[in-house]
Amino acid sequence: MSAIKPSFKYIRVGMTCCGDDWIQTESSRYDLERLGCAPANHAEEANLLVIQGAINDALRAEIEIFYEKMVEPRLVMALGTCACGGGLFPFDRSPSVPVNVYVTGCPPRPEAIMNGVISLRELQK
Amino acid sequence: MIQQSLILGPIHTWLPGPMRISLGMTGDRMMSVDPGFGYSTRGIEERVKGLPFLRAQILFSRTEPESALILDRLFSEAVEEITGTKVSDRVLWIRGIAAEVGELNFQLKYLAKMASRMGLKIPFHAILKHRENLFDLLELLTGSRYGYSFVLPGGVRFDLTDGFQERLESWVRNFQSDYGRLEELLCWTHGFQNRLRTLGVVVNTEDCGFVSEAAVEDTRLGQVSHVESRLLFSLKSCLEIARDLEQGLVENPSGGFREPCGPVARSGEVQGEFDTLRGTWKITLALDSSAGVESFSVVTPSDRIRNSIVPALEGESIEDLPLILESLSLSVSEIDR
Repeated sequence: MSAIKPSFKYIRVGMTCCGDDWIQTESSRYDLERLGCAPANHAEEANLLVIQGAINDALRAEIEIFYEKMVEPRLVMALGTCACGGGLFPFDRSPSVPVNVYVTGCPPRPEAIMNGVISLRELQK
Repeated sequence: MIQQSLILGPIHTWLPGPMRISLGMTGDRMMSVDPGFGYSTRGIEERVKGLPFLRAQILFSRTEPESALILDRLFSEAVEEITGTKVSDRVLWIRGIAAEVGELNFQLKYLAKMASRMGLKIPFHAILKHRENLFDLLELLTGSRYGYSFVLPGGVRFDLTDGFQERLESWVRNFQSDYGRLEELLCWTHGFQNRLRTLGVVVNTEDCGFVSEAAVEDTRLGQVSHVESRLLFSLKSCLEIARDLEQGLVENPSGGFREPCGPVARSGEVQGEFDTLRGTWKITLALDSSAGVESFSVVTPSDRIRNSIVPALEGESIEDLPLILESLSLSVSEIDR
């Protein structure tokens, strides 16, 4: 079976253990790229924004800037319990941009991340 | 010489302040360097006050994902000292093997990240493949991929799973046999040899304090760098602990395994240390009469690396700064960097 044509160019914001498991999802066992999900070099060429970890006020403003720069149609994934609107952090804020898929877990497993990407593909159709 | 301030981060939301490096620049050369770390754990120290120690540990272990098993052990041993709780040898073995597996996980992550930063995709994927197998082992041991809240005051959450030891030894053997290929792919490349090694790898053991001379001599890599030496040393100690564990299981099949202790209402203050290859972790913990955390502070090995950054950066071009800092990743934790 051939790999799916790249349809997501993603950019990640935030850095926590959720990001660690995203890296593992890119590894050979899970191979995120076969789902058509490849990293973007700049926000201007990305159509998927992955928000990982807790969101404070400074990061919230950055997310809005990234979101404005992205190409249409813009999709957003909230990765991890913190980004999904909870978590351990007292200052945690919800993303101010519309989120299409929430992937919960602390941190989410690679299978959950891939399931989130597959859900986004359904939305894209 | 022009004074400039370089601000990096914060890369983690716990950091109230970013890492600031004051630079005295002559052209593009960094002639004087004065690094200042963010307050890595200050948020957690404030947050856990007043919480019961079991709830405080849930927060504390998430200070740094890769070091969760070490942080949990540090916290648990401090609570055990205050409450006068004794743990069995079997628990100590299990904690030891968990800490070693956690350290290997940490080191593999940064080797992979270093390979990625250098644009070396093949070793990046090869290392991550080994790391994914290590995650399987961690899950077998602790029930989760990062081992959060596995080590608890008075014991560990689960006893060893059947077949864990054989799988661990199998993983170590596989990795050891593959290590030569990985080393060739990662270290003996033009980019690594001509940029990273000559610039960034810290070999000054006096400044770092986490690489013993014996550890360096013990590996065939000699003075090449501490990165590979530490990895091999950790593999070796992992095997040794696995053998100890086997002997302990044979001698004492029941093992005297003890369930984690429940809430203990006893107040007290303790200062503890825990040595790892990465350095010494220090903790100061005080519990009040209702077993809540009264005061708490922790010092991570990253604090000892502060002085190592200066000789690594001084005299170098500022364009090499990202690579130099990346090469320090194995010693400076992600959260402090």
